[in-house]
Amino acid sequence: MKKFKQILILILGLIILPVSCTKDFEEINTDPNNPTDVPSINVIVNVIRLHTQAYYNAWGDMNEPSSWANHLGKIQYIDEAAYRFREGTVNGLWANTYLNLNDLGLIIEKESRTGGNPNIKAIAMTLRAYIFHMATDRWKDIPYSEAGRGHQGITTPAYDTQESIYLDLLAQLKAANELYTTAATYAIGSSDVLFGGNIIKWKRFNNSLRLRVAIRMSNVAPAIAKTNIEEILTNPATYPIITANADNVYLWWQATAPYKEPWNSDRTDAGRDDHGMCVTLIDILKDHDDPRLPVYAKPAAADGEYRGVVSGDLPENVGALNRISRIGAIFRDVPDGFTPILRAAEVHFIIAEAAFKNWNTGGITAQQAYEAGVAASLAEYGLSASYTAYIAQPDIAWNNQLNQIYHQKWISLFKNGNEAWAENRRTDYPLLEHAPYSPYFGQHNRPPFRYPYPVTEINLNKDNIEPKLVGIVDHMWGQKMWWDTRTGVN
Amino acid sequence: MKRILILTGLLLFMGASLYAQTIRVTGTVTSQTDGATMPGVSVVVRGTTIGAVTDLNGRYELQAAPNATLVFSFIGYTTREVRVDGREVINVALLEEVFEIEGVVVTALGISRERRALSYSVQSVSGDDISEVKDMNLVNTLAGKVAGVQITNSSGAIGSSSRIIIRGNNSFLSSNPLYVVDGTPVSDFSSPVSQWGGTDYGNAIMDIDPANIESISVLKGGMAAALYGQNAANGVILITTKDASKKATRLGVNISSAVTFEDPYIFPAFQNEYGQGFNGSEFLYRRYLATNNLTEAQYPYQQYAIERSFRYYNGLGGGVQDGRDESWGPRLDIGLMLPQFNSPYTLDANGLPVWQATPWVSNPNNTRSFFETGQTFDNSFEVFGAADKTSARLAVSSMNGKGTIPNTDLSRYSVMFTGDMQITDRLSAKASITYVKNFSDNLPGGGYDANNVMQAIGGWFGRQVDMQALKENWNTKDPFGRWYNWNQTYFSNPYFVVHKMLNSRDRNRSFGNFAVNYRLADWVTLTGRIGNDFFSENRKETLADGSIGVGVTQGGWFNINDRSNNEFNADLFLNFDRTLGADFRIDGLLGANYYNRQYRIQSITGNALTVPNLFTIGNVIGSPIAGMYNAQVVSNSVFGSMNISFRNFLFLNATGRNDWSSTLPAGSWSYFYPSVGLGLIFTDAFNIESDVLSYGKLRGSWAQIGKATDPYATIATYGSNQPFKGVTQFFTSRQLPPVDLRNETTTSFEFGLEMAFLMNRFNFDITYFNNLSRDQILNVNISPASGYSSMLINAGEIQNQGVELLLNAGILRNRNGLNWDMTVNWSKSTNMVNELYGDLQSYQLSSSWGALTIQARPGKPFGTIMGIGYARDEQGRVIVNPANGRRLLTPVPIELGNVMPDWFGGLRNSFSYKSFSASFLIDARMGGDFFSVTHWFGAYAGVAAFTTEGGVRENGLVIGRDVLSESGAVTALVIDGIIQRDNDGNIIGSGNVNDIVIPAQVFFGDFWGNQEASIIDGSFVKLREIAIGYELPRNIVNQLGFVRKIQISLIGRNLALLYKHKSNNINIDPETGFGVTNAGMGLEQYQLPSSRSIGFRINLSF
Repeated sequence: MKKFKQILILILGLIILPVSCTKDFEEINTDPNNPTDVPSINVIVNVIRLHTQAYYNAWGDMNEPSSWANHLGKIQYIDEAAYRFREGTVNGLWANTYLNLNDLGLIIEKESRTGGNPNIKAIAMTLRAYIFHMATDRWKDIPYSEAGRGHQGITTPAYDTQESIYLDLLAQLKAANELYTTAATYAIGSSDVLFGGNIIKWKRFNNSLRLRVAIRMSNVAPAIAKTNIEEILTNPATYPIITANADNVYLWWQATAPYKEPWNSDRTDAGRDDHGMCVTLIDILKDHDDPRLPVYAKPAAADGEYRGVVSGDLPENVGALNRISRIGAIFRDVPDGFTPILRAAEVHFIIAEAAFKNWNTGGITAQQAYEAGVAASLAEYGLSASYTAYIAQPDIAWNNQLNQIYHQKWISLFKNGNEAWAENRRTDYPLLEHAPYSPYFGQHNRPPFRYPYPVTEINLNKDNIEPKLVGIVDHMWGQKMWWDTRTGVN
Repeated sequence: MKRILILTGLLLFMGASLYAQTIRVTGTVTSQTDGATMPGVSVVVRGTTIGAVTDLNGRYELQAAPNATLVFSFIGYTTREVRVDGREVINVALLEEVFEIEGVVVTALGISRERRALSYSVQSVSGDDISEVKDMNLVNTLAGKVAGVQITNSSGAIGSSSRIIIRGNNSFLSSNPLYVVDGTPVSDFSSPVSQWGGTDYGNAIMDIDPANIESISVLKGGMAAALYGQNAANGVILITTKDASKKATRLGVNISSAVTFEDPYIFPAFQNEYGQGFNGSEFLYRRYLATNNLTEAQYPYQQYAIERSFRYYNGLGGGVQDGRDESWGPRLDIGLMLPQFNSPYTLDANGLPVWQATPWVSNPNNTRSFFETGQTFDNSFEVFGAADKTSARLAVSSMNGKGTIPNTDLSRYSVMFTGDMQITDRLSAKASITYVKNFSDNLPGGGYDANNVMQAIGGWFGRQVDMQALKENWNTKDPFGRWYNWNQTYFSNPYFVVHKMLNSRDRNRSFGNFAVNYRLADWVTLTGRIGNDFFSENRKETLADGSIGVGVTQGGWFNINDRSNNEFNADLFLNFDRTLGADFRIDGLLGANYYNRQYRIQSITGNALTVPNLFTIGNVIGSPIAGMYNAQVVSNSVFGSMNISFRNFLFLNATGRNDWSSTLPAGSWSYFYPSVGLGLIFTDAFNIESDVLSYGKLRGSWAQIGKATDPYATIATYGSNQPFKGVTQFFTSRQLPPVDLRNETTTSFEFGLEMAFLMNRFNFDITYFNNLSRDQILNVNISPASGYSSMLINAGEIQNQGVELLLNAGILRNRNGLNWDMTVNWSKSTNMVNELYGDLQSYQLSSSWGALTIQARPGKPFGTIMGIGYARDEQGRVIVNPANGRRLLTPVPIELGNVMPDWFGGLRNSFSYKSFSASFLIDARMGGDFFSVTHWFGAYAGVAAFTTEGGVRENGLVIGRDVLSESGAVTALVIDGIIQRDNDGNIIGSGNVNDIVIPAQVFFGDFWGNQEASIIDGSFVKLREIAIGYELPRNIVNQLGFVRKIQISLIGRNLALLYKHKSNNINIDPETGFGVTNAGMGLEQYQLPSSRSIGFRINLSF
């Protein structure tokens, strides 16, 4: 029976042993690779970098917005320029937009608690408004009030109307302005990749952004636009704005992958040569001996001529590639180049338009602002010497035409395709045609009104998106932006 | 826990009498076939664990009660039971089984059991069956040999991985089985190439040399695998290695050498009528003439071609369309003369090249000629022997392969030592250790990536390109100082790719186990076993300066990646086996397991280098990018099993297992799962003695298997990106952490019928199975507008039911004449997604270009292919836009196919005639769709053969007449210039037949917008294996003196694609996929051509 006891002890041992061994399990399953808390500024840097890559690279800008705004045209693989979009691009842009917005939302939550940094909170609010604005100008109605609340259990956020989003963006930007402080306690340090910790520049960006939002809605809700613009322009001490190129919101990139300037990365990392200059822009620049022509474009390799392509043209009409002008070197060939997010010229043209509408701009006339805008745009490329001759030309010299402002604004927005496309949808200037190679050729008389909603949203947020799909035709038409007051377009 | 106590109680109850009077029994075991003595036969006193193994001369000796029954068993022979009846000498002859019906089979935990006592399906494959016609990857050798087991080799690249699924998909993520070697789980770690690129480093089970394998048991259902827990939900591949005790008659030596030659045997069908360039067709030429009011005489085709379609200058668009990689250029072989990349040139005053025009001719085999004949040398040597109380086996083998892609290789060296020892009457020990070195100087890149040569030469290649010129000059520069190439925009010269864009791997691995058996009593044995599997692997990927299309900017690029993996298992179990009276026997085990896996990876990347092609950290411009990851998983388990047999015809099996897993939240660590099964040999139960029906069995079983998840999934953390301008970047985890996560459960049941006829010469085994997996731990996508892209939850239910059939026939049996055996296996199953989570409509398994996704959708079979299709009218006719004659498309993705096959199976015929033997294996699959990018871009780029058929480039084409004629085409209904749609957004057809002529390059360019055109039915029939052997006559061999046996074989694998579906007009190997997980199913993106292998093997025994 001794043996029998041994067996019994063994059996009991077998059973008890593992049960008593779970005491280290929590420690074993603690992630040694990733932190559970980090400094907010490092999250903000990720948001700025990721958002800029997403919205200003070949996919987020060159192929579609810049092509649809007729700044660029595709010369090979003419798919996106002719509205044959990639679902993956749409899904990816949507996802990046909201993941960034979520990160910003969590920072605002965190920095609102006791001991938080008001500057960090304000920056997060400015960036959140900036990103939401770009998103709503692509997709019109989007999740806003319920966005970024997955951690509160909202996994199928409701959609808000573009109008309500616009109104709240103005309020958010106004509130952010009040938070910025130059107190040393709240300095944010040199990790700030946009302004190197300069809070005043953040403030200028914030308020200039509010001007951009307001002018966009100025045709559909003029009273609100007017109130907002006048509040800023008549209180420059409270609401500093960008008026000099030194304050331009440029994101400068690094010389090495994976964070090379996105247009350069498309050329050098991806090896693409799919984009040429659009004939619309080239011809407008040529028509007025615009000094920006050799900056914006390279002459065609075959004969040294500046020659653009029809954006989204039939491949058989594109012709030999060496007869097409490519994008100018400073925009395409510099790995540590820049992405222009908001420039002084744009602000001047907003003021010019407000003045043209007889709003109180704090005493600036439409002509003053218009000329300041042209001067700023030329100065951006070191072309100030050419200003006098350029501005003196008939059609360029101010003769009180709104289209003159639109004309110059469209030119100055080069390499900011998102804004150029949005402004073109608002102003219909220059008048653009539907791409000849479009599969919808014959059906529409303008480039797209909007960006396609992502398939992922139809799969994952069906009930909320379905009412929003009503009236959309061919993914990108049928529904205009709330602020798009054009008539006779389809 | 309660069930374990019951088991314990039973065990205690049986301990009633531990000692009885015994006598010493000896004897010799011989083979009934040829009378030879048989070493290694297991002799066990029934109902006890007392046993012996016959020695080199077939002799055994043991102590047994005078009224005991001895059970003689040996793999491949019918088990015999003999009553002692007081005799001291018992000699037995064993009958060789034609087919395994009643023999011994290895089951869970490495325990050999009689097949007849099992209530579930186990199919075994002998070592000979997989080592005769070897493959670099062990998995591939199982293809077509086991019913219900689907094997997909991902590509023809040397060392490529293979996916194996048993009885369909049970999981949304991975349905890989568990691999167990001699009772200890081993890693099948893989890091596959994705559809977007990477290198296929294979799956780690390929480290096992088939020559070391005695047998493989495939445990298909839940009951068979339940004791392994965790990953056993997808079945278990149980590998038993060779040891000495079962084969040594004296010191024995075997040498086996094989050489095989590989060449690609399935190539995409390319056109050879039009070269690189654009707008070059006669149709567009004539349209140009008409538009510009020119005549052919005024503007000849030659002039049009050189001025508007293709003229090489710098391969970057500096000439005419010479930056393009599409083949929409001028017609070949009609006497055109055009400057080309390989044309002679002179230099002008500025030192720039002036290219001569040279004949514009086709190079029909340019893609094929890139490939070389691969070679594989396989040598193995084993020595084994046994003395009184010990036996040992040492095996050394090498496999050296050179791939069909130039400059690719793989070598595997393996040393295995196994020894066992009877230390005392009660104590025995066995140990086995294997060391493997698996290394490669260069493995090819795959997927849609410029590192994959097929992206260029199998997709975006000029049909006029002379491969010989690329081969001869790849290491020289062109007049602009760039590497010699046909194009400078998108791809490097394929020879540059294989010589200067390298992916090397060096893996050192050792695995093995050590087991001690102690016989506590006649009927109880205690076994302790420790097993460990460790490998460390170094990978180095380098891209030389001047590599095109892979992001190399300055000096080159490299990534060095070190990883190690250690899996430790400790088991302790008690085996018991007891006869109760004349009718009952009860056996089983009680055990515990401790499992600990540690995984570590560290990497360093250099994105730009100061000194070109010096791949060191110090040479990196800026900071090198470093990465690291560490993980640990621990689990504890207790388990038990019990088998009760009644009169050796009725068998009840039951198991239970409880796991505690570290990866689950604290409250959910512990989970229990049971199984139960019943088997009835009805021919014995009802005494159906018949010459016709020799054996019949009915069986049924039900089982559950639980499963935990990956480590660190339960808490939200921050991820990081590489620093931007020196600033660290963090982002919140994109995965919403789970609430109340618990284990997954797979419930399965199966019923089987086995019958054998005419002395077992004909038999079949048919099984119905039904697996239900629920509460899967799933990372489901949620609307990113929530701020998160996914959340981890228990969700979903997948059901998998089907039938598998194994049929054996000994058609001809003649000891001195012709013998013919045939084996058929066949399986058909339906893999349904019953539900996902809440009202979630889709779970994305993978995605490809455009809107193409592969999804699990509730109420649909697993693996639905969704994508944009053609707009069609009610009659199925394609609808075109009357404004331009081009196709209109569905507004949203539609269902285009399904990746799961309808059925698959294998047919093996084996013949022997005196000293000759021959066998061949045919492997078939019907159904199972995939999206082929070679087809899709083959159309877009104008390289596919079907882009020139029917004169479409000369004359243009009309949709519905020249293409898509099987469905026809009508124009859309247009009112006031607007295309009309119904309420669902579907385009309405006008009913008018389309007659608008469009250029072929526009029609095929439009493949871009939809995926319907490139969904291919993956049906195939392949001649998988052939082996023809000849054994030299003994009298001749004996004259050599020292040699006992010489056998020579002619062997071949993957010999022919005998059938493919007509939709496969691009001629892609339908067996395609990426890696070993579900994410790789149903996609083909520039597959590396599959290889045929033919060679010789010689086996020598001393």
